[in-house]
Amino acid sequence: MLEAKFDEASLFKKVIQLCNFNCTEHGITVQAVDDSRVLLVSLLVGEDAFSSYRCDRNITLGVDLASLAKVLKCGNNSDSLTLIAEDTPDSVLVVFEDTEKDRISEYSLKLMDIESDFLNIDDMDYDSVITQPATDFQKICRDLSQLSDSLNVLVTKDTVKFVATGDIGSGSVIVKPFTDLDKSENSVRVELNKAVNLTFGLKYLLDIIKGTSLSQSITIKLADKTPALFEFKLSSGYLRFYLAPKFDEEE
Amino acid sequence: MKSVYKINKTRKNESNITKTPLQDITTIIKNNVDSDSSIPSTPNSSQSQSITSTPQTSPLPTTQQQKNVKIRHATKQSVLSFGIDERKQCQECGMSYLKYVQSDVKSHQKYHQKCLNGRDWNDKWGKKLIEFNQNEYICTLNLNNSSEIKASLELLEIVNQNLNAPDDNEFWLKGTDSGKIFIYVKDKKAVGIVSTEKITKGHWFAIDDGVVINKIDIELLAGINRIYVSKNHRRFGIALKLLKCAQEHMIYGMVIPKHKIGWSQPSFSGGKFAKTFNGVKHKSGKILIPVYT
Repeated sequence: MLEAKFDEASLFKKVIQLCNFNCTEHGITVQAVDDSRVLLVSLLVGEDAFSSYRCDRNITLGVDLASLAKVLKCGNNSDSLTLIAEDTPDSVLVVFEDTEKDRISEYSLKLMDIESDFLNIDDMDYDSVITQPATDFQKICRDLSQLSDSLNVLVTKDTVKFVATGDIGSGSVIVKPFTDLDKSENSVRVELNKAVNLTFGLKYLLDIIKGTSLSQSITIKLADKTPALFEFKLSSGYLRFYLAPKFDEEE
Repeated sequence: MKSVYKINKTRKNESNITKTPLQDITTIIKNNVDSDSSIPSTPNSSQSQSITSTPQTSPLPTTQQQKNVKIRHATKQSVLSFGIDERKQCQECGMSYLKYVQSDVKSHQKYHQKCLNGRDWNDKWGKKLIEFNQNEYICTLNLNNSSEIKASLELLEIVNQNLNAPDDNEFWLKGTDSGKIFIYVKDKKAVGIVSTEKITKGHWFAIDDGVVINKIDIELLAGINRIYVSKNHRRFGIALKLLKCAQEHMIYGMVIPKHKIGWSQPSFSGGKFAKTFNGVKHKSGKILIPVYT
C-alpha cells in the first residue's frame, strides 16, 4: 500500500500514452519511451515523498495515463490521495480523503498489460553539465522554438549558447555562470570537461520543459554523440529525460 | 534492410573509472534513411531546412544577416538504442527488421505483401498462353521488355529467399533455347512462377529416404528449376496449372510427357508436389521422382 499525491500524471500523458508504474520498496518508478524512440522518460518518486509507503512485493501497474489523469482530476488539491493495489493487481484503487470533512471518494482504475522492459540506466560521465533555473530553460526553448525545429547547444569555456536558425531568421541565447548567494536556485552552474556541440529536436524539448513546474532547477548533461540527460530534481526522487540528438546528414 | 551502427560509446579520456555506462543507452543513426519521413515525429525537418540553406530566403537580406546565415545541413534525428536486440522476425515472411525504425517497418510491410500475395504485374506484360478468366492467366515473358524481366527477377529473388535456394536462375535470359519462365497472374499480381530449363539427362530420386540413384541415367527433356506460389494462393492448384502450361509450351510443337520432366533439389512441399505429378512406384514400394543437377 502506498500513499501519495501525484502532480506528475498530467505531465506524462502529454508525452506518452501508456506506461508501467514499477513499485518497489524504495518508491515508484515510471519509465517510458516515445513511439519514435527519441525520448525516454524516467521518473522516480522516492518513498520519502509519501507520507506513508508500503510495498511488500515489487509490482508493476500498467496504466493508461489519460484515464489516470481523469481520475486524478476528481480529487481536490487539499485531499490526501492513496493508491492501493494487490500483489497481482488487475486494477488499482485511488482513494481521496478530505482532510477536514469526513468525505472519502474511491475510484478503481483498470490496469493493462503493457509490454516493456525496465531498463537500468547507469550513470555515465558527461562532457558538460549545466544547472540552471528551470523556468529560464523553459523560456529559452519556447522562444527559440518559434524560429526553428532544432536547437543547437554549444558549450564552450563557461558559456552556453543556444542557437536556432530557421526560415524567418535566427536567434541565440547565451547563458553564463552566475552565483546568487541569497537564492541558490537562481544560480547557473556550468561544468565543462570538453566543448560540446549538439543539436536537439525542439519538439521533444517542448515536451521536456513541461516538467518545469516540478522543480526549481534543471540539470542538463551533455556529451558528444550520446543522448543528453535533462534532470529535474524532485523533493525525493527525480524526473529524467534522455533525448537522442540530431546529427548532420553527412555523418 | 537498413544498416544500423552504434556510435562509439566510451571515450578515451574516461577510462579511469570502471564502468559500463552507456551500456543501456546509446544512440544509433540510421544509414541511408529515405529522406522523406522515416521518423514521423520530425516530418518536415529535412525539407524545411533545405529551403533555408539558401540565404536569399531570409526576408531582409541585410549584410549583417547574410554574414550570420551559414549554409546549414539538414540534420537527422537519431534514436535511442538500449543494447538489447530488438530485431523482430516476421513469422510469415521471414524478414527481420527493427520495429521502432519506421522505414524498416515500412519496407517490411511492402515485402510482406509481396511475399504473401504476390508481386504487382502489369497486364500488358508477357504473352498470354492460357486464360482461365479475365483476371487469371498464365503468361510467358517477352525477353525484349526490360521491366517484365526486372519484375520476374525480383519475384525469383523472393522465391530464392523462401526456398533458401542459390541465386542462379538467370539462364532463361539467354534465350528460349536454354529455358523459359511461366508466370501465373491473378488480379494483376504475379502469384506463381515456374522456371524451366532444357536438360538431357537425370537420375531417379527416392523421395522418402532422400537418396539419388546414381547408377542409372534417365533421359529427360525439361527440368523444373524453380516452382513457387505465393503463400496466400496455395492449395488452389496453381502450381499444377503452371506445370501443365510448361508441358505444352516449353518446346514448340510438342507436349512434353510427364516422365520426361525432372526436378532440381525439391523442397519438402516441392517433393510432395513432384510425387503426385510424376512420381513412379518402384517395386520396392518406394516412390521415385526424376531429378537433375
